[in-house]
Amino acid sequence: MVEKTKVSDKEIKNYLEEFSKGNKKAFDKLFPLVYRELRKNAHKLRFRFFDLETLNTTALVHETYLKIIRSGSVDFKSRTHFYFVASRAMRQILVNASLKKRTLSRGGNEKPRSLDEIKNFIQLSDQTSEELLLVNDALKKLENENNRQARIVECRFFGGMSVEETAVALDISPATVKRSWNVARTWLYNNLKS
Amino acid sequence: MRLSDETWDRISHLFEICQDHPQEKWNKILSGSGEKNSLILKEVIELLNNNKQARIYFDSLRKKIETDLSKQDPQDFLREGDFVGKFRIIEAISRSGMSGVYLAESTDGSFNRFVAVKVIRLSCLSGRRHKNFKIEKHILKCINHPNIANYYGTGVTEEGFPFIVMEYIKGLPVDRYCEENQLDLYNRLLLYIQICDALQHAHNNFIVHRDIKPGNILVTDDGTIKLLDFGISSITDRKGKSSVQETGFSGTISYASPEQLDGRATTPASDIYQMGKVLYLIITGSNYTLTEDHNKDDGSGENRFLNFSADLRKKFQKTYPLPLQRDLHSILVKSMSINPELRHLNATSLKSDLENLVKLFSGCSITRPEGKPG
Repeated sequence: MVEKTKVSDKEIKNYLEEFSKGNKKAFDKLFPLVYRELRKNAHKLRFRFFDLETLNTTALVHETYLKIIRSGSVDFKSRTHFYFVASRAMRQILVNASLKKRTLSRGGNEKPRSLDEIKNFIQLSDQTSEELLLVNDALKKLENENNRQARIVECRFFGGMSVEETAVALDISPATVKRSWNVARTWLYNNLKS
Repeated sequence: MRLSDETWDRISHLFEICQDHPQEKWNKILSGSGEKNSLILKEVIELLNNNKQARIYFDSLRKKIETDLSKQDPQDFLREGDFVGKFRIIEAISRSGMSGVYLAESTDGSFNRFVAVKVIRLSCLSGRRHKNFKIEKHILKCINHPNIANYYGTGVTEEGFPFIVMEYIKGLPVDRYCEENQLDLYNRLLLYIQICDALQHAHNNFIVHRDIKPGNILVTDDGTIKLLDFGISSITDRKGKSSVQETGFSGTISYASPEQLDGRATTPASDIYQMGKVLYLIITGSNYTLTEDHNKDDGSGENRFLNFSADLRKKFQKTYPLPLQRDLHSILVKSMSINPELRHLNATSLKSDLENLVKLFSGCSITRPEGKPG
């Protein structure tokens, strides 16, 4: 039996509480953990959803949350903060998978280096990965212009978070989230086109 | 240019007011808004112009991501060199919606170098299948028979997929084995009798196979039957009823018994039905399709018999004595009765009917070829 290399739930919960209380450093601790779990889950869930349903980022983030936070002793605020971290991780995962795809399709014969890479390799089509990279570039520009807008895009688009969850995670009103998401989305689109 | 939250809020606010109105009204609304900053106004108009396209674009991108994430490339499941527990995958043997079976080798130098590893796909997160998997662990302790593929153990992969390690059988599905070796009817029946023994052993341990079909009945080079894949079977209680409440049928549709198709509890009688189907296939080469009149004695049975007789003649290029054909046909009809209670009581009873038949036409008693453990 393969031994599971996983961080203790407790550790994640502690970081999550810290982050939820406003300790920004906890984010740096959480991010790699959540990133790894999400990637693992992406592979695993593909088989669960085989032939049955489609797997989207929302389901992925949610399932990963359920997997990590098994016991329900996490409040709503901490949960939204988990989603927030997961949304950023999701963006990174998709961007990395896109970059990988680009390398593979252009570089020819580069083989995945490790077993972990094979197993956790999210396969994106050429088109999806090119579009994702463009969106990511535009999102970087938006980040430079206004950080909050970019975070809203991450939550709504990459993490599939609801308006309410995004509002709690970012500590702004749901109305602001709704408006800003509409605007940010169009801003990105205009930027992609130019 | 960095835009403050406040500027964004102003842009967003104006954008929201305008977006539900037709384009020609935007300028009027904006000039009436009191917003003086021309950069903001310009930005709002630019955004409004592409609002709809932007939504469509991101919806479709999301859809594309979803499709890619869900896409199932079976090749991607496990590959050569991957590890499942201490076993290294060599190649895929078969894949189905529920599981993938791989030839693997043991890396710790244990006595069974080559094994078959069945990795269950959907199981770990679905309650019912998970339950079945747990039961399966129990099953492997019960099964120890020369004609049943051995189970060596179970485990869970790093990603959480349950897997079963079992005896690797190099063999052909029973129907193909019969064809490739051009076995006569007598030898086909002898081979089939081995399956009855294996099944009776499982039933004695309260295990219903539930998915008996040629693909799960392999014959090795030395002619030994190996019944595999008790993957969807469950422990039966002493009344012979399934202890797992069926919530759906998970076997192979063309070999499903009437009660399986109806979603009713699966009993050992269901296996008997599937055994009938297998027998029909290996002695006639065709699949028997159950009809409404199956158990009626209204003359339609005579037609079925004539068809059977013709199939048999075609298959073996000879005509068997009529009493033998009649007996064989009635064994088939009985085993495949619509009503489970009308079928053979158990696999042993099916076996003894066939043994009597074999004695009848061979004129000598038969002994079961000794199966050799893997």
